[in-house]
Amino acid sequence: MPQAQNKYRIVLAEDAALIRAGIVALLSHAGHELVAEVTDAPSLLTAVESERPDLVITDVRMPPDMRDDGIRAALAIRAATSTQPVLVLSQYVAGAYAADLLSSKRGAVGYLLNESVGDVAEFLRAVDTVASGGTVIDSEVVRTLLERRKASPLARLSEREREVLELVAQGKTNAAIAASLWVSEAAVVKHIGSIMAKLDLPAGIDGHRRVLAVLRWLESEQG
Amino acid sequence: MTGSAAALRAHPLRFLITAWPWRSALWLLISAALMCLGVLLAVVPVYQWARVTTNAQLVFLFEGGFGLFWFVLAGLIAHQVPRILGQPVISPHPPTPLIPNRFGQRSIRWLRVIGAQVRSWRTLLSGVLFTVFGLVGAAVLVLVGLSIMLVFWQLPYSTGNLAYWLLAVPLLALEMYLWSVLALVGSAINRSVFGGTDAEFQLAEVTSSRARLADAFTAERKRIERDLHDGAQQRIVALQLKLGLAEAKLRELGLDSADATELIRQAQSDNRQVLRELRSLVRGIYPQVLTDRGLGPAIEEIASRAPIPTFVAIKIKRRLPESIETAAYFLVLEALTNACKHSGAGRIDIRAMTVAGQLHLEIIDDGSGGAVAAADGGLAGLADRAETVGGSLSISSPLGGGTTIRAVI
Repeated sequence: MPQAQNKYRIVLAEDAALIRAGIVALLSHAGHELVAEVTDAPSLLTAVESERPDLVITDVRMPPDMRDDGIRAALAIRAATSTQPVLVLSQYVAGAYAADLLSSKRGAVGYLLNESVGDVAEFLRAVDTVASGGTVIDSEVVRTLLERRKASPLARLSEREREVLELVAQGKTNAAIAASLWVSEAAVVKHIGSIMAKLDLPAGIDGHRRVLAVLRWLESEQG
Repeated sequence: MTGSAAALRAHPLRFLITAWPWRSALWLLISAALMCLGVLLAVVPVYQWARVTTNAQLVFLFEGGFGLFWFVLAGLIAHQVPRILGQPVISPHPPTPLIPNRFGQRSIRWLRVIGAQVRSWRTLLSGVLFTVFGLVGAAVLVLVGLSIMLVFWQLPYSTGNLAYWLLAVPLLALEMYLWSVLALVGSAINRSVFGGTDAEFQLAEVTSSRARLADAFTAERKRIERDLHDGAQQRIVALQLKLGLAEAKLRELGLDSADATELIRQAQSDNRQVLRELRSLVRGIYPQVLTDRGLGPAIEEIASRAPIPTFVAIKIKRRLPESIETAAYFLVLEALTNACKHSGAGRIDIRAMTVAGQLHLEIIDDGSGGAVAAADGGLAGLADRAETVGGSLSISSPLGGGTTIRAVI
């Protein structure tokens, strides 16, 4: 089991017992401390209030309403603390949910499909990224956004540039992009520069703001 | 013809042993009670009052106000009593959705329907007639009471007394017919005030049962969606987690031979595919976004999945009743699917807005046009969806000129 370099205090909200048990096993093996496990939105709010965790991981559909209670709880938490890192695990690729989360100015948010938890190393990396203030968007969400725009200015991008853009939109750092594409970091910087120029996006920004810029651009193109 | 009248006509003798005579008695009893109670309440306080006041105008004002209140109340009751005789209640208002939504819109709707009824002159008139008919009801009840007493006093009850049975049984049967027919007459008067032919009453019944069916289908879809979400989807996600843990453990133990981890990874990717298919299946059954966020975001979601560039403009300020959201969503979904399959369009526009309490939908493509509504075709299905919730649909599709579908709900 890969040991995380940082140990976090985590509050987990998930009403499905099977999935909750799995995530707990995974996180505690990685050395994180589960300070509270809750199964509905109101107790999530109380737990965050009393525990002040380093990271909140929450499901979307939960009691009491069995609707988007998890997202609403996440937004309430963000509204109250503004810096509390929140990672949302969703059953659905729903742009509306992701857009709500990303509307916050600061980073430290994540939106993943819950089956992506199966890729243990990747999931633990996402936990680390969000807890330390970064942004993580599920590749499938990004892909739906990208697929819609084949006829748009994206067509001007090369295949490699599209790959890089997809990873940028997922909130990866230049180093992480370089690692997953097996190229040098300098090459990534060059690709990003040319993508930003082709899409008329502000160059030279990094982190959460960069992700936001790309996602805004993708969404505005949607018409 | 339904209910009591049909039963009477089909089997006049058997009618006596059904519940209909007793239901008819209840009908008469309600009208008689309205009459007697109304008179009592109108007369007693005024009688007391007139002894201490000399202001006759005030008394008239009170009488007038009370009369108006009483007749409207009687009218509201009169509107519902056809149910007792098994006759459909006709309503000029669309049927109330069966499934209440979170904000109690069902009860608000009820209040609005009742409000509209209170303001209607038909309610007042039928209230007057129903109350006056109470005189007949009261008379019948007195008659029945008297006849029973007569039989009892004159011929002391005994099972051996043939004369008692010869008199009592036919008398009761006769009276049962009498009051049942009177209730039907009263109901016919009532019905003539509320308006509507038999065909209209049947249409009212069919319309409301169609809306109930549509609501039932929606409820069923939601149940299936929930079952899949709570069942299969969660188990597969949990399985995915276990596979991930297994792989990590193998690695930890130094047993991560390439083919072992490769097998696990393959299983995980198969799993992902299953989940993807399950997700799109669930979305087709009942989309979670529609429940959570309403029509606008749900339409944007389907537009973003369309293979043809689709542009959405939505002006809907608040959440609509669930039955309308569902019908509109599936209408747009089908129209969009049709356009993507058949039109060969390069661009599709979807517009949705609420204007003066109505939802307007437009699905416009710039394709080849020439779409016709065959009886069992997709376009006829669209019209059915609109009509289920009391809406209408129009299609304009000149050859070579694109297709425009407009629906007003």
